[in-house]
Amino acid sequence: MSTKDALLVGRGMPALVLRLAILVVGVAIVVVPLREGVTVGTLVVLLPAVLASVYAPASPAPAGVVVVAAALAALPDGDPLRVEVLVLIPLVHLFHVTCGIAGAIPTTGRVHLRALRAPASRFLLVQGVMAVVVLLAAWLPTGRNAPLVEAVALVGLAGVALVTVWLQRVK
Amino acid sequence: MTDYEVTERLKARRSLTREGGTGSRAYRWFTARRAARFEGWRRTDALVRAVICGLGLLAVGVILHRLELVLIGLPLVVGLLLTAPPAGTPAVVSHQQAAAVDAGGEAVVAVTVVPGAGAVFTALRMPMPGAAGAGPVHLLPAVAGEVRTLVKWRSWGHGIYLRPDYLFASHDGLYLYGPVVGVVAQQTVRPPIDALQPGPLPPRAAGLVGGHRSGRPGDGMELRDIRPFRAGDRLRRVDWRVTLRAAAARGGTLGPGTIHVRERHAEADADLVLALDTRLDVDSRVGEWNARPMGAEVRPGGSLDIGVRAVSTLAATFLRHGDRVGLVDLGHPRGGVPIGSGRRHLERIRHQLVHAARRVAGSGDPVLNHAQVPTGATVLVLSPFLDDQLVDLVVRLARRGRLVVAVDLLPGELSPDRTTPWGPAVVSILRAEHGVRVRALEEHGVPVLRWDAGAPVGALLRAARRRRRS
Repeated sequence: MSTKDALLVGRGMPALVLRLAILVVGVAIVVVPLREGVTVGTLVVLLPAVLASVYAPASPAPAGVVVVAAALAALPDGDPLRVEVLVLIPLVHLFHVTCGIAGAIPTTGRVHLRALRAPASRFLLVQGVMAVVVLLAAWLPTGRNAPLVEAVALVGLAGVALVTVWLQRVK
Repeated sequence: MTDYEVTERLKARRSLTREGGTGSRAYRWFTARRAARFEGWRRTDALVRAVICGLGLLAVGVILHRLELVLIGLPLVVGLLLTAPPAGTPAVVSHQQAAAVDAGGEAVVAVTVVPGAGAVFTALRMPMPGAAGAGPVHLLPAVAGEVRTLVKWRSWGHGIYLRPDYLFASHDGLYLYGPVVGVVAQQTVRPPIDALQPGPLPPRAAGLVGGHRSGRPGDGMELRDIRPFRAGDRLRRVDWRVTLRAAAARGGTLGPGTIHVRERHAEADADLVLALDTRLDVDSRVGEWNARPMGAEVRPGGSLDIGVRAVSTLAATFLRHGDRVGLVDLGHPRGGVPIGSGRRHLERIRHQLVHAARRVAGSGDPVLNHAQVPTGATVLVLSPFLDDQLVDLVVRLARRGRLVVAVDLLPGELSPDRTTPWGPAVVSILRAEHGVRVRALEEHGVPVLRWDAGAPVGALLRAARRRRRS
């Protein structure tokens, strides 16, 4: 293999940058329910979960952040497509991705930007899909659904769950 | 705590229990099952989070008719659907370097990465560019091929230059492979050789060949005298110009007393014994003298570091001039190198210096006996001179007629230990005792020089030789 093909290791950035990114995204997630006036649940549950995720990204703490952030977003009775929810969609996804990457490297390590290109493009792809879904949701009529549609939705959801679990079998 | 650290701890605990050997079959079965979770590709918390939180939020959102929950949980599920579980067995193969290198040199260290299908990240331990040591873990893209880094050996010693521990991760860190501890590659970094102006060493009495002018007449190149012909002189040594002039002065006849011959100096080799005090390694911080240096075998800039560099430089300089050089390890009598010459001998001395520096005892009596120093050899003793025994040995050696030069390695500025009020007093006493020792050496005809003062060894040897002749 020629020198041109080889991957040259540079200095990179400290891996603490990833923890800092988790903290920044986590704080942004915390700010959203606070702006909606949900203070107790945010400060008592969400904020400690964010801080725990910064300390241990490969732990159940980030799952707590995802669930609590979603639950706090669902608490106020408002438009489900309001700005706060639309902001939370990429933030929670970014938090999940950043925790996943940060869990693979010790804090004393070095992160190289080249390594983050693939996850960045994948993040944008997922968010593109989500933009389509949001547009679809905004376009669809609101109101009570027919029981058949509800049943189809539940069956479809079960199908998605089965496909997901089947796809994630380790060969 | 990261997955990397958790797995490392579990592996360490597993190896401990294996060593303990409980003998219980049930326990072995249990530990084997747990171990299987860490073999090959394994699921991570990120995957569990994506499956449970993503699908859970979708389900709850659909059931409760809360679109917010669906929209927040859906990206996690979409990410899962876009990810295929990785397959194959990733590997990292390291390329071996030379077993010994010179300090100050640099080389490209490379490993070959085989990531396998589905791997997106490689967490690979590689040296930092321009530095030495195993280095930190780098998060790199998982690309098949070579991963290279430029390693620079700034300090001498023996150590690890590469240990490519690795861990592979799939998209979003959903699956991990490893961490796997890489094969350790070690290297001996030989002490550097600095430029030094050598001085003339006193030639050995028994020397017949070499680069030094002996006081005795012989077959060398340098003219010693022109004298009348004596029985036994070779005819080719006759200086015909002087002879004819002498004959002309006596009337033009070639008689007895008119024939003159050119007498030349004999050329002899010289022996240099470099005696290094490896018992102590001290630097300017007196409070740290008892502590082991952090992350290094010797203190950078300490007495042993300077001593080893000085010995390496002196040995290289005098061996290059055709002299014979030996090494005496004052702390370990068996750690020396007998006197010898040549390039291979220099490498032997430099290797031995690296090994000698790894055995700093911090105490013990110095050993410098008569058998270690050949007759006629010049002795250079390199030490911080913090004890009287070594001064006694050096003085005894000088009294036997050897040319002994002391090289003082004690740092010029000593900073007192700030944790105790006695710090400044201790430094004062150390300085005073050291001064007494240096004066005692000088009074017994042992010149003392400091290595950091421009290393004027050449000038000193020249002066010492002149003094001896007179």
